[in-house]
Amino acid sequence: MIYFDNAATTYPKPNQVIGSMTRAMQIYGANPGRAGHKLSMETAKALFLSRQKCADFFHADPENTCFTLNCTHALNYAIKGISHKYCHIITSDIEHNAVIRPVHALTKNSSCTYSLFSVSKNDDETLRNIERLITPRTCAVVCTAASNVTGQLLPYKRIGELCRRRNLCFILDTAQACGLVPITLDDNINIICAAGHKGLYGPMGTGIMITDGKYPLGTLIEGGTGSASSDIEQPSFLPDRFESGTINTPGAIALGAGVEFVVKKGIDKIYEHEMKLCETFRERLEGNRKIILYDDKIGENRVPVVSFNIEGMNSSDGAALLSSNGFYLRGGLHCAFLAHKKLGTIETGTIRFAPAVFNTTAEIYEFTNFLNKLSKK
Amino acid sequence: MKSELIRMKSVTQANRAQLFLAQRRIKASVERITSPQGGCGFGIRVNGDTAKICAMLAEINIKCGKDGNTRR
Repeated sequence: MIYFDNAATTYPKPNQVIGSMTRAMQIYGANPGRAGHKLSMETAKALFLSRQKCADFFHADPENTCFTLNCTHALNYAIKGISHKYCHIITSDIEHNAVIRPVHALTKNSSCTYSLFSVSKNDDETLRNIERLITPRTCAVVCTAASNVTGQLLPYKRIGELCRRRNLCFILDTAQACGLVPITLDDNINIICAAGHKGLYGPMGTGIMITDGKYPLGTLIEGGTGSASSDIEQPSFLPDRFESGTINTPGAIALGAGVEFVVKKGIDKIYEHEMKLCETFRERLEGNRKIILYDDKIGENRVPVVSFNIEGMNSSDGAALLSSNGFYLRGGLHCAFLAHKKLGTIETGTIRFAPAVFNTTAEIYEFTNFLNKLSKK
Repeated sequence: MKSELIRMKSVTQANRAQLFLAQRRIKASVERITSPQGGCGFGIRVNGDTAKICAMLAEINIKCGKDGNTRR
């Protein structure tokens, strides 16, 4: 079995992460931040140390680093938390449903509106497309850092700069980019939403919402936090405001181990390795007329994700054929119908090749040999 | 010297304060607090000049006083 579905979740996980999760289950078994006994305190301490690692990674304050269930959860907190009556939100025309669905849902129960900016191959044009959509009612720009379909990297630093200049909240979905691109709050981002289980190599069921504290956020979920318990109001301070109920403590502790793994390995090195694998993948399929690549439709800045199709097959059938031969990739729309509409693949979807740090060149050879043989049939 | 308990907003803030003080060789322990005013919460127990410790914590935006009660 060769796994190339790392854009959905990375697999395998580093041994440190597995060890950390196991240890957390064995040693840190009490509920953190609830009781005063030793085990609860030790669990809270372990959780804090993980939170600190995540915060340092994004140049944030640990108290503004909230553990969530996943990136979608974080995005819902951010998008619905920032919106107010008559709020206008700007987002892109290649978003994952994790962004477009909560943005769209806001328009159903309130007077909120939204506009889509067109992501161009040219970053200057993308910036102009955003700027022309800004109105006096615009309260936030929310977009992905990198497309989960094509890997195209958006000029998020420049978008952050534009938002800072125009006094707009900038929310960045880093699901496909964190751990590969050094995104931090220093890039004029007000709220970073991250998946814990992709490029950060944590367990599934983990995510993070990080804020710079500039924009107060409303809540989606209220409940027990172990703090300010005599007050009927949800705490205003973070992370408690967004961590009601018992959190996924072993997962959050193991996420810290994942972040540590990425830091030790080096983001640049991980990026370089995976991009090299993508390059090899493309090179070895050059001249194969039955494999359709979509690279020419995006700009040069990208993360290691390549969408392709096998001629004459829709992507689900293609992915099923690959699966039955031991290659695990995802076909379909990847929960990003907007991106597929733009790519012209809304009918067929694409098969997504997404390597990770543990994939090897030998695996790419094995895979491309298979694709090339298949095309000769 | 008597120990004093400084109320923190949350267990996260208490752990952050403890780590910060430990880096400055000041021993502090995190404790659970229950009070009629603030309900359940957390604090740090310290030995030493509380005013000085609070001034240090202010460097990392942790406030004693209004937001955090100090008690013996």
